[in-house]
Amino acid sequence: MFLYNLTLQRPSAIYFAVHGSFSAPRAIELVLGRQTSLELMRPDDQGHLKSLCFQEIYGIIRSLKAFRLTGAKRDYLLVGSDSGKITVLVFNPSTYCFERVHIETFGKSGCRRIVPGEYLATDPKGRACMIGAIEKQKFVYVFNRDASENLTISSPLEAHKSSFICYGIIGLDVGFENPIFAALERAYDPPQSPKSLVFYELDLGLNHVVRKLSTPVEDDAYKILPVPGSRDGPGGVIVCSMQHIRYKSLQSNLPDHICPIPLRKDISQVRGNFIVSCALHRQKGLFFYLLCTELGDVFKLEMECTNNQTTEEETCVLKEMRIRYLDSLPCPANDMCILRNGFLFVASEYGNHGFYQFRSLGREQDFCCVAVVESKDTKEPVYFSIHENLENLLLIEEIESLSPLNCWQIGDFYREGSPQLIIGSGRRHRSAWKTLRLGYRWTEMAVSDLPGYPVGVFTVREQQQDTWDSYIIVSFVNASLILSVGETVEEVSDSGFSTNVSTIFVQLFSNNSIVQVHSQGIRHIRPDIQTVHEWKPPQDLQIQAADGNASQLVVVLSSKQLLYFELDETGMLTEIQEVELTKEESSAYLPCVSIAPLVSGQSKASFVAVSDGVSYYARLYSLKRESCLKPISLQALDTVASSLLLIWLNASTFSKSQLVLLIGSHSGIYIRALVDPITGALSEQQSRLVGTKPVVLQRIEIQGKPVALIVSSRSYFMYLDNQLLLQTLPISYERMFDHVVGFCSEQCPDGVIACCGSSLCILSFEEDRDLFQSSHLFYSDTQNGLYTPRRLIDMEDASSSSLTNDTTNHLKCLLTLEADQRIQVASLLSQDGKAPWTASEEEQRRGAGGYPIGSAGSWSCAMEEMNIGENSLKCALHNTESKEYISSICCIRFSNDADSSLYLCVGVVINYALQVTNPWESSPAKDNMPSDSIIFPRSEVRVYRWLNTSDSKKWEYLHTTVVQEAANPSMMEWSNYYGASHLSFHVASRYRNEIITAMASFQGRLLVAVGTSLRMYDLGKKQLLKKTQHPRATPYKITSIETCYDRIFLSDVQESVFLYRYSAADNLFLCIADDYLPKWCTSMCLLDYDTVAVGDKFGNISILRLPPEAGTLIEQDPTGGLWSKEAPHHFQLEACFYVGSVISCVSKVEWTTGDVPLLFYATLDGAIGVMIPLRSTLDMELFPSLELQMREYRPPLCGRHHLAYRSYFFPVRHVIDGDLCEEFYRLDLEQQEKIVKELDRSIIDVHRKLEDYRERIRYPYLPV
Amino acid sequence: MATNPQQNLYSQLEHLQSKYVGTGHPDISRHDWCTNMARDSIATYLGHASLVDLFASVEGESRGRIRYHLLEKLHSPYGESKERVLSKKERLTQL
Repeated sequence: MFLYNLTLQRPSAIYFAVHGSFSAPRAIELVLGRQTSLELMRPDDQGHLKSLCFQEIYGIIRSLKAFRLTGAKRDYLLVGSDSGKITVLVFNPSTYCFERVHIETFGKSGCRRIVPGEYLATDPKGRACMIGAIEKQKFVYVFNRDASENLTISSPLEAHKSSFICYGIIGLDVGFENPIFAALERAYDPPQSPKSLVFYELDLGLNHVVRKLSTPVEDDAYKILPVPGSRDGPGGVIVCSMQHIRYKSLQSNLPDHICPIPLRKDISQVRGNFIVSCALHRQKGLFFYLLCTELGDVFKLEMECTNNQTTEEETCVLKEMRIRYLDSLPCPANDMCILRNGFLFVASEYGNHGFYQFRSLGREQDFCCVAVVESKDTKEPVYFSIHENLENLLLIEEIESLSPLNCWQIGDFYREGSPQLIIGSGRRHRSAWKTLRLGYRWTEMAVSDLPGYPVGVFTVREQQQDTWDSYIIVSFVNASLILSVGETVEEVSDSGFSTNVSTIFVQLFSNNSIVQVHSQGIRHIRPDIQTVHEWKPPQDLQIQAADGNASQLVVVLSSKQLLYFELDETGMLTEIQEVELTKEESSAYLPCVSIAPLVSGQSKASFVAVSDGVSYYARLYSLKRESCLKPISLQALDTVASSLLLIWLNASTFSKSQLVLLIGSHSGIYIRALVDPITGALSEQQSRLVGTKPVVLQRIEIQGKPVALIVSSRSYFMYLDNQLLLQTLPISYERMFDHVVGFCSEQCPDGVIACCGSSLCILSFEEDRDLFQSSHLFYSDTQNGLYTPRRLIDMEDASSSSLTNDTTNHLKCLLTLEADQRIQVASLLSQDGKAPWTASEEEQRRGAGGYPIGSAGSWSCAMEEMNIGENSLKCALHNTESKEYISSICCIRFSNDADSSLYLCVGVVINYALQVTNPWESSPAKDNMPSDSIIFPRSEVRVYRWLNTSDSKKWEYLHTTVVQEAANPSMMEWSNYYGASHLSFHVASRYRNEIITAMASFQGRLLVAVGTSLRMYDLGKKQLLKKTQHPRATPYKITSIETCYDRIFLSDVQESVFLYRYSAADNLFLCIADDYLPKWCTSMCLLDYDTVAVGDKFGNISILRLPPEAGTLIEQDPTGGLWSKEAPHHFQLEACFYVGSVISCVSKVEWTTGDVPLLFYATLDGAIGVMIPLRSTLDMELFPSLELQMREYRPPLCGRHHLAYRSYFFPVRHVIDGDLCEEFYRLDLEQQEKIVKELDRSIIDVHRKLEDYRERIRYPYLPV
Repeated sequence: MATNPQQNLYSQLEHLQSKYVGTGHPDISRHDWCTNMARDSIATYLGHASLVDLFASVEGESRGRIRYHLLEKLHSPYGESKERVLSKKERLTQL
């Protein structure tokens, strides 16, 4: 098995954002750092963020900083990654990508404890940088310039200090004195050492670093910020700790200023208000910070200074420090940037990223708190009340984020013909269930009914320099309707167009004259000399097809003659040449013709594409003077062409354009070919079945970029994206189109006009994302959830055969499980769980406020019904007590139930407390707590029956079964007796984890995973009846169950997958197979009887298969494996691949009917990818060698080795990295040729192969 | 110049231990070994932002606070070493 991995949707979580001028001097730009990729963005004049470049670095980004050499105009980008190298990047505006300037190795690769990369700090004057590790190591690099103004980097200077944990590094602003870096550090040896702020001075003269000074700070300090120095500010450091922020001056004689961090009213002082990110704005004479807390509150930190002129030098001294509340953002920020033009970019933690404008920088009435000098008592907490709505900030644009993507279901739930992805994303009060569909969506701007069925629709501008279209011409069989576009769209009669004929074509020429081609002739309207010229075809002949551009016009007569007109110097349309297309006179189909539009600098197009409507060919004719209307090339078709289109496609960031010929046929197939702009030779032909109707092709412009529309029973949108990949994506709209034309007006700048039957629709693209981004293929519909989504199950999954006779009017229903710790709302919900929120409450809840924070063991869980047809979410169940945690749900039809009705089993854990990362929270692991003080959880299964009567559809409660009693503390006594009290926490934590984790339906019975044990239950009258169990099915904790006939696949939280067989004769679970390697499974999906795909916490996707001989051995084993203590067989690793972030779901999906199923996966940070099985042995030879070549020609940007990266935890196996292969397009022609020479293929071959796999999920039909 | 290979190995190991924090030695105590392992793991979690994401999403805290917790946990991830457990050998000698 070979798989081809492609990223469909890029990760949406942004961890780093830095601003600067990267592409040009004075440009205002942002670089966004995701887990494994870099993106350069620039806000346009309207404040919309546009992506300029996206680069996958094939490594983990751990820190990002921009710096600028003194006097330089552009910024460099400094990346701390997992490659063990420091990377300096510069943006190359000609190729539109980041390029390496310097890459210096300093350590091993990987995210290690003592290998620097985690922290980066630069000197504000760009003279040096410090790169630090979590523990011990820090390196300082000195930047300089050589004679030709190039950046040089020194060898590293060490500033190590062993057994010190570093919390952060900053570069202090000291003007042009020796650069000073400050680090927040704490030693772990001896234990309980105080936390201290350490200053490192780089002596530029002596070229070494000294640990200059170390001053103690609060023990709960966690963040340090540099304060602007030299002339602009007082210099020094701000230290953030849980309760307050402290300003420390570099001058030792000045006292510290301390300002308490204001708290929301419901937050305890002990918990504090944690500052997660900050941004500094600095301009001449003004600087301030924005601080964002973990609840999303944004504070402005103002510092007022006085200038002292006591000494010779002018020094700035802090007079007053204030903290002012600005606004509350919906989510806390991972990183923030204040741009020079007054915008604020917020990379949100779990929610849409925001681009804000400042309305004001804090008003008088906003809450404000002034710092005091050290000596006074500063322990008093300060409270503030939040703004319900944004008052000082204004949201300009949102970038949608799917992070954290926790769960999904894929399938054609809406019966649309192609599958949708329903995902649970977001967190807590901002959670959402989103339906993702491939492609784009059109929104209806206006619909109007027409008197008849139109045969064509056209739009035309009045003058070349106009931005908006002036007329819409709707053509009927024997008349034309002329509509003028202004404030409204109205019918006009004085436009000069002929209305009593059927219009075939309309064009505005370069001299602002308009031509209207109709079946009876050509009407040339010349407003400049106020005349109208009419050209009539010879007697008894009609015009059947026409096309033109700003200076040329071609028409096809019913005698199958092609006539070519040009606009001459006098502005007259003159016939240049004519040619006979075919001898056959009559035909069932109309001919079609297309001429390429003029691109800038061109006065005439060189080619015209024609199909005569009879033969199965499309021909390309030359329009050059010397060879006018000579056939150049020919494309064979399966049937007669229905539409032709010549189009120049270009990526907005590149000047490189491609002339493409598109041919649509009456059988619903479209063929695409590249046209050589000089010779007219056709190459790279590709064909696709796009629908069941004859294909109509149209050229439109969106955001100033040419786009081809392919319209059949489905519509598609074809363009060249910023990565130079030709993308074809479906467009969704309820109705089918007959004719489409581009439309551009003030209300609808990127729209189309479409005829659907007898109505005319004006449609526009939803502009919620950058249309031309590759790997951003989905659009979404959102429904708000209650809490963080955890699980999503298909309610009809269990309905194997019996009860679903009425599928036609049965509403498809999905069940969602949402759960959150530490929020207190369970008691707020009404008892029956119906309509828990009113609309206004809903608004409030989703606003900045969120839920009140609860204690660690308090849970809020809900199960909601998602009715697909109604597009609604209804809360069906929720926990009534805060110590109840709903851990799993399962729909099942019990085999011993006579009615075979649908049951819902809900796994509830009582008294469950997660083991948390917080080192101070009491946990048995840390404190060796006496075991009798630990509260152990109890698990139970509650069973509900689906009541589907005419008057009520609801879950009716049946009974509760305790599946796991709370552990008895005395059970742990043995460990104390053994004299190993340190072991008691192992035992305790085991019992703490003995909770119900997963359930599944298996042969009409319920499988319940409780911690390590697997149990099987049957339905009883009073409770569930335990049939059998395996006490220790997996070593640590079962995370999910998949079943297939008699086999049960269990994934363990740590030890990969176990395969069990249920032996009905012995009523036992028998272990058949396990895995050699540990895997921290998060999700699993069954591929076939022997095979599963597993995604794990560290970002690996593996496919495990039971060896075929093992399968037969199991069948033949007379003991049935009863006597083997360990698993007799082991899974074979079929494929393994490192994705880069936590995998949250994997699913096998039948994306295209009749095609092989594809493996879809999603990561927690919102990326969606697909693994496609390679089709042939030829591909299996081609792709590995292409990948090999690509590794050589396009090595990862930050110096990680691609193969090592994809083999991060386990060696990569049988998976091709499609993302890397697709970068083939971005290589220049010379390199491409070198590669294909090695591969013994042609460039076209490689392109075609890449496209084949890329387009696999775009069409609902198999390739022809 | 023939050096004792045993000695050579020993000095190499010593060099490794001073250069790479966390390199074990034959007489390492259980507590030290576990502490080292836990420190290495936590450093990995901190390095991979999406793992911090995972913890934050599960615990219902912000990423910043989780990072801070993890950093603080680096100091004594396996409890204080005061209660250091006797190694097997020591236990045997005591008996």
